[in-house]
Amino acid sequence: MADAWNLAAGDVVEPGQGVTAAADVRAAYIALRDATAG
Amino acid sequence: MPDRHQSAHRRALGVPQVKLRPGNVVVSIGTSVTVYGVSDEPTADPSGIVAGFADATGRHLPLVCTLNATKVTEAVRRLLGVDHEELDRLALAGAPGAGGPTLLPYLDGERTPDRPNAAGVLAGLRSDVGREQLARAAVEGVVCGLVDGLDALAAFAPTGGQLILVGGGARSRAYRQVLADLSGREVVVPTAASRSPPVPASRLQQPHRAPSRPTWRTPGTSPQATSWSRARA
Repeated sequence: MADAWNLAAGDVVEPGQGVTAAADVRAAYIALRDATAG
Repeated sequence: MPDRHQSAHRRALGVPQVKLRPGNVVVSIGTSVTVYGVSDEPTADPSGIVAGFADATGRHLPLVCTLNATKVTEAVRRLLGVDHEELDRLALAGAPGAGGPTLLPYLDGERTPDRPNAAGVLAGLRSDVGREQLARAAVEGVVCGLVDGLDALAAFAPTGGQLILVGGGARSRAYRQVLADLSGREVVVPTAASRSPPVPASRLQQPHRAPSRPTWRTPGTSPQATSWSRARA
């Protein structure tokens, strides 16, 4: 088990092409979430 | 608190050490998800979305938990009959937005939002649906839930720093990339800086080794708690 995390030596992942669709993806999720509430 | 005592307790609890700066947010993706940051103020969220914990330094640890994470992508992986690497490949090959399908990933009921009897919902299917779309929808559904949590957390802790991704899901290229895409933020996946064997239980039972505790502010002193108390009165 890890005792400590090393952030400086970690992998870094930048937003990619998917960021352009992020608003649409989240909107579809929120619409489905809210439509199925209660 | 002597550092050796902090270290022993941390290992006993299974909690790795990281110097979490205000603004940094940890996203842990396992069977479930936790999203948490640090705050100098105690947490008292009347909505129940953000839970309040104390951290080991005397600060506070507002935390959001969702129940359905890698169990969702595991279910889809099993349905598709692929291994983890192939599921990652399929998800990353799928168009962002999965080209239509949306998966609400509340397979075993959900805690955030509070829907204990919920089941998953797959919407937007068309006859040309492909394996890539299904894989992508599964990852996006899980990540959408945790990004909702990230938004909720922002009311109780600074969240503008690094997004630190840990847990078994952090090994997935798809989870890493989709989290960066949907949050619009750089994601850091830390490496293990050191490893130690578990602490024997007998060591933890020795009273003279028990560490002193920091002093935390109680929720009763926070503006949120005052508001909560008024609301309940």
